[in-house]
Amino acid sequence: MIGSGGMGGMALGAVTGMTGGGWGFLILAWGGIIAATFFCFYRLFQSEDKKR
Amino acid sequence: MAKPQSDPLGLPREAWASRLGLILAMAGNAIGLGNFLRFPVQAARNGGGAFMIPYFVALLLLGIPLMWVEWAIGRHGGSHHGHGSMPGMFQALGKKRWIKYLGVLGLFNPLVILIYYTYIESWTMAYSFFSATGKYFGIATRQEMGRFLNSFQGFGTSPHFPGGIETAYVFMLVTLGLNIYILYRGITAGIERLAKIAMPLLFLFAIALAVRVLTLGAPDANHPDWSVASGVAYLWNPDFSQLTRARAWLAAAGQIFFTLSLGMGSIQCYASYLKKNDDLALTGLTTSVTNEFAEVILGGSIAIPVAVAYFGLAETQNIAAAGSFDLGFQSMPIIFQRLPLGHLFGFLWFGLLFFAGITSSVAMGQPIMAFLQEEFGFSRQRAALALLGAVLVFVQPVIFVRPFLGEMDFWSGTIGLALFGLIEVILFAWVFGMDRAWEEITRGADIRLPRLFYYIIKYVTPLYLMILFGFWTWQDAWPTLLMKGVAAADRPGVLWARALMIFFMAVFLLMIGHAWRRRRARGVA
Repeated sequence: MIGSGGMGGMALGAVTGMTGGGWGFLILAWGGIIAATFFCFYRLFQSEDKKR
Repeated sequence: MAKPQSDPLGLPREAWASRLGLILAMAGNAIGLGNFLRFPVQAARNGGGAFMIPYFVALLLLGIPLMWVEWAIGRHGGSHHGHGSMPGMFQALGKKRWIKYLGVLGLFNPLVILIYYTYIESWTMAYSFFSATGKYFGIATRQEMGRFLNSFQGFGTSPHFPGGIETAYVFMLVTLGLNIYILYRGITAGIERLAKIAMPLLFLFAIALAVRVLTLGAPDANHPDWSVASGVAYLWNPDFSQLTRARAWLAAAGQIFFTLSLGMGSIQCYASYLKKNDDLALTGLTTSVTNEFAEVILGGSIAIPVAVAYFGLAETQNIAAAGSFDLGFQSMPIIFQRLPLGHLFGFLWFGLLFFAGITSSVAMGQPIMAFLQEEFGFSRQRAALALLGAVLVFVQPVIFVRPFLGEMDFWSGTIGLALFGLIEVILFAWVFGMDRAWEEITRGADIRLPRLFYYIIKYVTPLYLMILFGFWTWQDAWPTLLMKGVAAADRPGVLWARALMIFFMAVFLLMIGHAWRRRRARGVA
C-alpha cells in the first residue's frame, strides 16, 4: 500500500557523514530485522519438518 | 495445506497449496509501493535513525498485534463459518444482527482502493517499458519529466504522447486484465502462483538495485558531497529532538499501519483459507518481518540515497516534500539516465514497483470475489467478470477527473483503514471476548506467544488506533471534508468522488442485507 498522508517537508540539516548514532541505529535496525527474519524462517521450516 | 471446506452455500472453498505460498502471498499483499517510496522519506523527515524507536514501538504494539487479530478473524470466519469476506466474519464474532453491517468497510475499502491502485500500478508497468525502450531518455530536468508524466496521464500535451491518454489507457487495460485473470484463476492457481513468481523477482530486483546504489560512491566529481554515504547518513543520523513531538510517533504508527496493509479485509480474506488448527502466530509474524526486510533494509537503501547522490541533499529534500509520485516517477527516471546501464536499472525499479503493486491489488480484489461467490453463489468466472465491470466503469472518472484519485485515497486509503482497524480490534477483543480471541490466536501456534500480547491486544492496540484515528480525523478529515485549499475548479470533481463513494457504501449495505435475507430464507442463521 502507498497510503496517503503525503511526504511533507523534511527537516533541513547539513549532513556530511554517518555519525556514531547513525551507525548504531542502522546496525540495530538491520541486525534486528535480519535476525528476526532468520528466526522466523528457521522455526517455520523446523515446524514443517516436524509435521512431515 | 488445508482440505477444502464449505462456504455458506455448501460449496467447497479453496485452500492454499503450501505454507510458503501463503507467506509469499501475504507478504506480497503487505509489500507495496509505500515500502520503497514512503518509508525512507518518513524516516528522514521524522528523526532519521531515531525514527526507528517509534517505528518499532508501533510495530510491536500496533502492527504485529493487529496482524494476529486479522489473521485470527479470517481463520475463524473461514474455517468455522465458510466466510471469506468481512460481513460474514464479523457476524461470526457476535450474535447481534447489525454486526455484519460493520463489515461493509471490509468491502468498501478494498474496492475503492483497487479502483485507483490498479491505475497507479499500470503506470509502473508503463514506465518499466519506457525504461527498457528509452522513451523518456533525453529528458534532462524534473520539470520536463513532470510534463512527460502529465501528458502520459492525458493532462497536457507533449510530443512523446501525441495520442494523449491512449498509451496510459492501454496499460491500464492490460494491468486490469492481468489482475482479473489472476483472480479468476483462484487462490492456488492464481494468487499463490503469482506470489511464487513475483515475490522472488521483487526481492531480486530490489537487491540488485540496492547493491548498485550502495556502491555508487559520489558519482558527480563536481559535487563530492553529493554521495550515497551522505544519503544514508541523512536517513539514519538520529535527531532525538523529533521524538519529543507527537508528529514523529503518529507518522511511525501511520507508516506501520499502511505498510502492513492493515484495515483492508485482504489479510482476513487470505487467512480464511486456512484450516482451524493451522498456525497463524508464526506465519503472521514471518509475513510481518518479511515486509520489514523489504521496507527498512531494501526500501531504505534505494530512492533517497541515490537521490542525494545525483541531486544533492537540498534538492532531495524538495523532491521528497513534493510527494512519493515525484520521487518515483519524476526524479528516478532522471537518475536512471545518468546511471550506467540506466535502461536496465530503470526497468528493474519500475518492475519491482509493478510486482509490489500487483501482489497487493489482487489481495484487494479477493475479498470482493469471495463476497460475490460465497454470499450470492456467483461462479468464479461470473465474480471475476462482475469485478472487471465495476473497476472498468469506475476507474474512468479516476483517469479523466483529476481530484478523484486523491479524494478516494484519503477517505478509503487513510481514514477508512484506520476506522476499520479500530472496529475490528474492538469487536474481536471486547465483543467476541479476549479469552476466546487469545485462544483463537494461539491455537495451533508453532511459537509460544508471550502472555503480554493478551493485554496489548485488549488495551494498548485499540487505544493506539483510537489516538491515530482521532488525530487523522481532527487534523486531516475536517479540513478535507470542508475542501480547504481545494481550487474552485476541482470542487465539483471532489463532490462527485464523494457521491460515488457514498453510492458504493449504500450498494454494499443493501447487498449485505439482501445476502442475509437469502440465508434466512434458506434456513441458514
